[in-house]
Amino acid sequence: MFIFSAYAIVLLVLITYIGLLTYIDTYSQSDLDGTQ
Amino acid sequence: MRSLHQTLFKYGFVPSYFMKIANHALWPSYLIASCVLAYGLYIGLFTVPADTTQGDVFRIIYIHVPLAALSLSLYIATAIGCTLDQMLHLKMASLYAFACACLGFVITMLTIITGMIWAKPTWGTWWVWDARLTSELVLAMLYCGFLIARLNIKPTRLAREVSTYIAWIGTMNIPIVHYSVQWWFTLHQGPSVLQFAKPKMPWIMLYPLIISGLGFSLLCFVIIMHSVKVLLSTKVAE
Repeated sequence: MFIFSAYAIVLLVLITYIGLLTYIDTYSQSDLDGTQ
Repeated sequence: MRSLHQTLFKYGFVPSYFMKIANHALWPSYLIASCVLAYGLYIGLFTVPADTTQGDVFRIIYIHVPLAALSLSLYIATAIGCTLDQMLHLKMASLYAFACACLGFVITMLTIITGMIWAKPTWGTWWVWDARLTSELVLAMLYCGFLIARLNIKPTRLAREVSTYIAWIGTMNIPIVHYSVQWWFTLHQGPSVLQFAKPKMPWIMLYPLIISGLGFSLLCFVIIMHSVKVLLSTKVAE
């Protein structure tokens, strides 16, 4: 239980971090292209 | 050799070249880093035998130790980035420093959280004001101070100077974190992997740690590359 919660927290945080970066990257790129 | 340095500098510090390589290499690099990390975590979780005294809980080592090592390395990288920015006026170095500090803060908090999760079943408590735990918390506060200074002080030039001083002063905490378990009597165990003598861990338990450490390091490297790409894009968008 303790092991899986530690693994889950770390992986979730890292995935969220990468997801946010991707979202900002996509948003800024589309802004530059004038598609939004 | 000189041309290798020039190539590394060109692709690392010239925005147009950096963007070219980041656009092509980002997602394949994420894939490679994820595969290495997944393999390391899989063998750490399922193939390594349980520890005789701690049982299965010891498997948290395969995430806690790489994250702890990265929390220190990223702070040193932040300080180096700030130094390059101040000494050589490399704008890209400033972006690298900021990206390292953002990720470093997250990694330091994850180190503390995974340490707490490990501490509860082994020490019987979530937290003690032990030298290692307290110095790691100070590291998180230093990251926080760096980011607050960088994001809130105006003008930007002054923010970069102030955050550089915080980064330089904070590097004094790095040896304190590393040697705290030797300098003081602590509940946290002494070094068993990162030491000059032969590691105390048996090879069967050590090699998944090396692989997961490599996986986390690669992932952090790619995340920093991604962050710098985003910072450059948003700067251009401004």
